[in-house]
Amino acid sequence: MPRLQLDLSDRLYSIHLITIVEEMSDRSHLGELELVVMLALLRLGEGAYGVPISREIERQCGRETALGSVYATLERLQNKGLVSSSLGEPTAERGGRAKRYFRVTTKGLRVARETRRALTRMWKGLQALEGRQA
Amino acid sequence: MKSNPPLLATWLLEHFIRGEDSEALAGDLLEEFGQGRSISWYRYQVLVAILLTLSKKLRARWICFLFAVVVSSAVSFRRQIWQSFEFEGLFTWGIQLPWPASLAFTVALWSASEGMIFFVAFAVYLITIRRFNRRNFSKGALVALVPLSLGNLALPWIWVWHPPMVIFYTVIWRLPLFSSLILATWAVPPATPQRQSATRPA
Repeated sequence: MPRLQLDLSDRLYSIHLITIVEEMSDRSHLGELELVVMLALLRLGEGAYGVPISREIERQCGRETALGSVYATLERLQNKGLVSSSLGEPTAERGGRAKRYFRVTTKGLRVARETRRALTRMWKGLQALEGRQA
Repeated sequence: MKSNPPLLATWLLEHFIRGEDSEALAGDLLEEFGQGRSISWYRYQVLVAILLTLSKKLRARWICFLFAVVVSSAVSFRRQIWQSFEFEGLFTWGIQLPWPASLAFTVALWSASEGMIFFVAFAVYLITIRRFNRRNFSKGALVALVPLSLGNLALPWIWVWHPPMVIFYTVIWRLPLFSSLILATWAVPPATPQRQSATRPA
C-alpha cells in the first residue's frame, strides 16, 4: 500500500524530528518549527525577512505558516543566540514600516550542523521508511 | 493596493502586539495584503499573532499567580498576628469608637496588617526576580493599594451577611491580599531573557 506508507512516512518524519531534536542537549535544543525556520533562513541567505521566510516554508514543506508563528519562532531563536536581526529602511508599500532582516549566527550554524548529524544517524537503517516491510 | 486592510484587525494588531517585532509584522502583513491576500487571511494572521502574544505573556507570568496563592494561603502566620494579645486589644479599642470611626479604624487596621505582609512578600518577590529597586517597589505598591483597601473595606459588609465561616476564612478573607499581590506582580513581571536588539540602518 504505497499511499499508506507515504502517510506513515510523513508522520514518522514529524515525530522523529520533534523527538530527536527535543532530546538533544540544551545547547542544541531546537523545536520542530525552530529547525524549519532555521533551514529556511539558511536557504534564503541575505535579505531574509518575515514574508520570504514564510513563503519558503510553504514552498518546501507544503504548509502555510502564520507570520505571527514565524516571528515568535524567530524571537525564540534570537533568545538562544542562534539568529540575529537588523532593521531595514521603511517602505511605502509596507505603510512606512521597516523590514526586519534575519540571519543565522555562527552558533546557529553549529547547532544546525549538530542537528543534521544527529538526525542523519537516526534516519540510517530505518527499513520501514525505505518502502520495505518492517 | 486593492483596498485598505480591515481597520479593527489593524487596530488590534497595533495595540495588542508591542515590541520590536510588531512593526516588522505589521509591515509584512500590509505587504502581503497589497500583493493580493484576502481580508480573511489578514484577519486570521492578526488573530494568530494576538493569541501567540497572549499565550507568551501568560506563560511568562504563571509564577505571579503561584506566588499570590502561596502568600495569601499563609493563614497560620496571619492568624498568629490577629490573635496576638496586642492586636486584639487594639482591635477591641477601635471597634468601641463611634461609627463611622470604628469602621474606618477597623479597615485601616486590617489594611495595615495585610499591607505589612504585602510589603514583605512583594520585596521578597522583587529580590527573587532580581528587579528590586525603588521604582518597581513603588509601582507595585501603588497598584496594590486599590484592591487592598477596597477589599478590606468590603470585608465588614460581607461579614454582616453572616457567610459560612469556612468560606469566609478560606476564601473571602484572603481575596484582598491575593488580588493585590496578583496586580503588583503583574505590574512588575519577571524579566524575560534578553535578546539582541535589531540594528538600525546607518
